[in-house]
Amino acid sequence: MADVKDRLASALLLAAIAAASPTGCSQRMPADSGELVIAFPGAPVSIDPRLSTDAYGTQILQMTHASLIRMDAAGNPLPDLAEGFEARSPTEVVFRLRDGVRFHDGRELTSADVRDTFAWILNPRNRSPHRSTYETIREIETPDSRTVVFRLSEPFAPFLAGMVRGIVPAGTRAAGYSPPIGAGPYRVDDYEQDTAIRLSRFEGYHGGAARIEQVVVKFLPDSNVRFLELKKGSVNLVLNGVEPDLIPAVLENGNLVMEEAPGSNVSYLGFNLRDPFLSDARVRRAIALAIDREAIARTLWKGHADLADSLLAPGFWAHDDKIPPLRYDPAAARRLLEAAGYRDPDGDGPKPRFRLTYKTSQNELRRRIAAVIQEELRQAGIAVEIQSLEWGTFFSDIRKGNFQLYSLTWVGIADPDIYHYAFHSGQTPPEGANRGGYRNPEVDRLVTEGRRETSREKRKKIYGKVQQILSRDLPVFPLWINRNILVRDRRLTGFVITPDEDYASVKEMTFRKGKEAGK
Amino acid sequence: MSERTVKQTIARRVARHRGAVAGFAVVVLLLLAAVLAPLLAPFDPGAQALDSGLSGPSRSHWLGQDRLGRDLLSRLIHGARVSVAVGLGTVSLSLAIGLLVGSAAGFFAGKVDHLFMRLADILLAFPGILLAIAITSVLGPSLRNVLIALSALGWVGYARLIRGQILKIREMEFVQSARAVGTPPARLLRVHILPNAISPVIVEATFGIARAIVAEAGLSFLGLGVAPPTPSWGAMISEGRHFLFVAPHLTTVPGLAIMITVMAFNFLGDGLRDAMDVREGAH
Amino acid sequence: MRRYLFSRLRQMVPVVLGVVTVVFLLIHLIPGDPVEIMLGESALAAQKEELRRELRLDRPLAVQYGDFLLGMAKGDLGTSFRSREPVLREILRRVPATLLLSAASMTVALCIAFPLGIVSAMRQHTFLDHLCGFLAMLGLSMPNFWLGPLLILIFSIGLGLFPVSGYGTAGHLVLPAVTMGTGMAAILMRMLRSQLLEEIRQDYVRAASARGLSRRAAVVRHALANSLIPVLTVMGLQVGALLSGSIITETIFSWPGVGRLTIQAIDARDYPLVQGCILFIALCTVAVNLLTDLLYSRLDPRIRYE
Repeated sequence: MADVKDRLASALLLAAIAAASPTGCSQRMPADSGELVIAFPGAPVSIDPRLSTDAYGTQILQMTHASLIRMDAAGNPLPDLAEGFEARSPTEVVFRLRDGVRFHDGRELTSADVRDTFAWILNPRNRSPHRSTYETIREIETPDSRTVVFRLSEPFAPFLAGMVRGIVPAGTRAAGYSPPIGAGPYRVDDYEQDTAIRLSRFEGYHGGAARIEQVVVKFLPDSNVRFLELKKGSVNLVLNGVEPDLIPAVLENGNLVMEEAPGSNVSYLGFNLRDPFLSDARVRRAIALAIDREAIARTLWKGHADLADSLLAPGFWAHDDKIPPLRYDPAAARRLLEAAGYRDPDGDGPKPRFRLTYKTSQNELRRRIAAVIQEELRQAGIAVEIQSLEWGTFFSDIRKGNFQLYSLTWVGIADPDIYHYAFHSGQTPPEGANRGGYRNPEVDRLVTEGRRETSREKRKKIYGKVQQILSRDLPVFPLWINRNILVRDRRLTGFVITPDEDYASVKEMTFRKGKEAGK
Repeated sequence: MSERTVKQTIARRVARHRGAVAGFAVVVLLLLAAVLAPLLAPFDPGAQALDSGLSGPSRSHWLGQDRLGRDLLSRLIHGARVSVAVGLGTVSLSLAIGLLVGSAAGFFAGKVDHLFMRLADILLAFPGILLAIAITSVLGPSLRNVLIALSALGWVGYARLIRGQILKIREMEFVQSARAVGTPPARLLRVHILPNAISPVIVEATFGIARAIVAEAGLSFLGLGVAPPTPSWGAMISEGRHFLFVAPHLTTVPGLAIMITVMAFNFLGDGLRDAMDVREGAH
Repeated sequence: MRRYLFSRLRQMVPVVLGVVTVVFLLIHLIPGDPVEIMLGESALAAQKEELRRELRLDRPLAVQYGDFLLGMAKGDLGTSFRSREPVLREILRRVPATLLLSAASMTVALCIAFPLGIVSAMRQHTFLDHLCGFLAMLGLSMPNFWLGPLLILIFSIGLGLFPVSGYGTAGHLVLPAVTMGTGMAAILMRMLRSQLLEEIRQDYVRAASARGLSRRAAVVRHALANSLIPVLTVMGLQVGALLSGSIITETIFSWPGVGRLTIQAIDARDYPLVQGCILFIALCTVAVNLLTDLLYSRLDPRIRYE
């Protein structure tokens, strides 16, 4: 992995500069006595920062645990526990901890806690799923209680991104569901697995105590129940948990308001390029032309979705803005299929040109979308059979490349290097995520070059080319990006919607007084 | 009484039972709807109109449209096919196995019974959901596999019920005396025991049809029911549940259909039970 | 009696072993890889191999099965892949919620089924009977995922009587118990009615009436007792369904029961946890059915009179 060396060094320098800017409230604000009740559409698997990989666990940890640094929406590091850091060399990074940071139990947070957190993850006996992220750490040194030195075995660009891991006190054992204490703005009072977690403000938080005293997160998998809890007022903040069709009904009672902001998760239709029909780019393009994405975004998503033209969201720095748009054109789709030699045996009659199966998870929304795509492809003369499978089975089939068509969503793309993982010919299963078996020497060359290149400008050009080629070859068809939808009590202010659904801004939230609420 | 006259008597008694007649009529209508669905349905049940999704009843769409703008009435009529197939199919399959195993266990008792009881215990203790997942992930999601999944555990209840009845009846005087005069076992079972054991089984079976239809809805809720776009009443309720508070007709309509069907089968079952009851006929 | 009980308890062993074996085979044979689910998208092949070795998933199925049986014999159900907690502790944590909901649902079912069933049988073919029949149908044909939100809308939003969802107080218990209890009530009620009707026609009830006992007393004293056997059978069957079939209700009301734990374990292909959950459900079901069988002999007067 020598190709990432230079990128690391420049990233660290940038970071050191960004770290100089101050954050946190220096003066204490008056406390809010109200209770913030958040609903999640699911329950976390683990809320130990050293083990948690699921989205809900991560979101809770954003409220309860502090890390060396944080990342802003654009991917730039911000200081958190570390007041600054510097890369002495591409393989040696030094963090300086803030003075007087305390854990929830009053213990002081020192360099030993930082070292121990990462040492625990790296210990194979603890089987942390995060170990691969830190495998390049050769040594962690703590010359004094406020300095941590990481020595790497080789330069590793994602190292800094890995420093957002929450720090736990040295010697904390993994205790399943009983969450370890942290140094974040909220402490865990009570955790009822699969039901709710209660948090209360940590007065000694190093960034200044949060404004709202009590935060409850309820885990409500049923969309009707989330709707009813909001209606009743027993939940007052939901991010991406209200179905677009229900938003007008939920806002009826006047206490709730809706905000939306662009998202970053791209839904796509995957093709198996080893399939005799789908190996033909004309067939793939015909399928893309036959799907009316505008109609789906307008109706099923009620406009709360943006059409995608690449795996990268339009706001992302490496996104290519000059990809020719692919518009719904059923006539062109039929012409392409004819040209590819697939004649419709009986015109508009029931006989199809050919048959495909479409795999999807058992999720109701995905089934609904599958039914729309099926119907639109039927009109183009392609018979589609939907196989809605239980998640474990579905994911296993997709990862093995056992499918013709499928649909999934890419979550958490932080770097265009995703193109190497998803489209390089060496990344076919079981190694990487090139599940459709796409092979293009030009793309192979570009995505390898993109990893080596350190200049953002040049990388943007390289990945621009990649996106152009992929929009022509269509090994996957990018569908849309759902917008992040926040429904909240109108008195609650301060929550910042980020593309990656970060809950760190909860500590800045406050209840506005009744009188101001009218406006 | 010869067999023919028994049947005529039963038919006559059913005909006198007003509820049974109504039930029978609904069941016949339902079967007709299932068979003639393509002729009766005003629209193609798969035809979508995304922009008019969730519309309420209108002149052209009498029962309204679902989220994808599909005509609810047409889906209801076509759904009758699937749901009737699920209900009747599951119950017939379960009942056939249950009758066979249950009567064997109850009648022969001893080792056979012992073996059956352990097998039944295993299956009863077995969570249906895992079996449903296993069946759909190995065989693929389809109507046939929904039937298999629901029957795989469904027969045990009937078998246990029949066994329990037989154990009770075989000790009764009239069976003992029939046995004493040397009635062969098969005849004993067929003529003396089963007809007297069957009445709770019929009640259970008419309920079983309902339970199978609702269970299919539960499988649909977990995404393991019939694959889209096939309309089944269970899948329709499951698909409509997200819109319970903005488009209640999506769940109410198939819900009512299930209820009416359940009632019809039940009244019919009640009528049959009363009619077949020898003792009631005696006074 | 004691010998019977002992032999029945001994018979439970092969049953439980049977369930556990079938589950072991099923969960290992259906597609899906716990390691891939645990490590997520970006894990490297070597890392997956390592974890597979650590979890001993690389060894032949027969060896894994042997290990599992051996552990079970020692009372060790293993460690959950997902949470790293001992499976036993994980299940025990869920047991109170599960038993509470099951017992409450059964109580709701009985409280509805018995009065309605008796009234229905004693007033056969009257308006009351038809009304009860209608209610039973209603209870039966409403899927829980539909009834649950409806009950919340009426009793929680409309009347403000109970919390919408969650676990903790008695108030939290009511709506999920009613949601689960209604379907079962319908089944029990119909069964009770038909059994009662049969018994009422029997000579001894008529004789009791003739002796001057009121009809109601005769029904309650004699017919009811005799009707209990099939009703009990059905109830026993329902208990198994209660434990494993509560997934939907638990999901809707965010109830931390074993049903949801089971489905989550299946989703994550958390083999030890799946096996543990199903072992628990199996043990409960077997125990309840044993109890039902024991009650048979107590309740059936024909057996007692001999």
